Amino acid sequence: MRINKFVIKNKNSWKKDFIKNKPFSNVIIKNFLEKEDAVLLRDEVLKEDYSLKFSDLFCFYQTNDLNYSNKKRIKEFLSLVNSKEVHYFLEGVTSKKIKKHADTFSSIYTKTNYLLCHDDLIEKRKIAYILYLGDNFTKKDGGALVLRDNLKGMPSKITKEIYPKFNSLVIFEVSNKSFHEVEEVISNKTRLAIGGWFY
Amino acid sequence: MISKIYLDNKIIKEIKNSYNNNSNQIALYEFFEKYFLGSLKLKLKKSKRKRGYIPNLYSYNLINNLYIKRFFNNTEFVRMLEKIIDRKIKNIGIEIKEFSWKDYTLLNDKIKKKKETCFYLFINEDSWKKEFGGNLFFKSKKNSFVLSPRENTLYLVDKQKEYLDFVQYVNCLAKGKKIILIKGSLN
Repeated sequence: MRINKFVIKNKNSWKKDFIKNKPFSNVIIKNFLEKEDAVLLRDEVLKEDYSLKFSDLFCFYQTNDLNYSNKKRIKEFLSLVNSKEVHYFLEGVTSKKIKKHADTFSSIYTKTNYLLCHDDLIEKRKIAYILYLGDNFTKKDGGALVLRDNLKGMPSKITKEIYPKFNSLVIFEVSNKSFHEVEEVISNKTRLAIGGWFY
Repeated sequence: MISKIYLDNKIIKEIKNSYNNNSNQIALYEFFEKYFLGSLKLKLKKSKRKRGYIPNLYSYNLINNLYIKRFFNNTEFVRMLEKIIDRKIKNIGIEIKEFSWKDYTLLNDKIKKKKETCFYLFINEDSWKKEFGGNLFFKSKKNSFVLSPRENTLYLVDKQKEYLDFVQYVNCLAKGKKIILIKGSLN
């Protein structure tokens, strides 16, 4: 499993974007993995078991922590995510020291699935990451990752809407102001992603 | 106004027994006479709405209608409830919320939990389906139960202190449709 060479080469550019992007530090890195690796990873992650997660805040399908998966490509991906290479890369982009292995899950959102507004701040999460592996989404499909500004510590206006694109990685800083949500999927497309948090 | 069946003392006695034997919960179907339900709907339709939206707490329209608030404090209605819950009611605090696509409420730890007896009345179209969302969930650490929007049904619930409630997100399948939830707190 390999990161696209272009991604590593442009670390300083991602760092600049991460700092300047609003409403809180975030960056979108397109074509994160080498394409054939992303395709193999997608095909394998789809074979995992997903269960419906439902609460007041969300309704979508999720796997258990992929660190317990015994599938070849998933293991390779997790080795990559938790490798010195990726930690060094992320520390360079975010200026955050990464201390331990990332929690990693896969999620599937189908029509009517959603995740309402929250800040992700649990335990000592520092950076959230999402690698999209499903269909490409546009406004008519819904399913955007929506980032909100804050006003006196409460979520306010929508500043950014990120529509999932295959093999795009989104990273953002987790804080008590990192208000975000996943807009309801309103088409028959599948919003497949692998994501988690670095500590 | 109230269906005659619910004004019959024998039936009220049976309802009271069911309420007591079912953890102090009961659903009274076809609660209002059809003509009255129609006029209630019309009054609600004409009422002013105020948008309530704090993304990490709730999204709905708040309806303020003095007539409806007064109506739910009328003697006939209050007496009927008193007979079921077997205690005096000083007044009923009324809260009216309208939910449509993308509306919801979230559990909020900052709300002080309290034991209260409430009624919940959904005003919606017959075509409303469970899968549209808008179901009212009650959650405690150990238990949960749900009230689904059902036209002209009055739910009476003795809510224990440990319960918090939320209205499930209304999804795109409900596009163009609305539900109104009237909550009455029996003080």
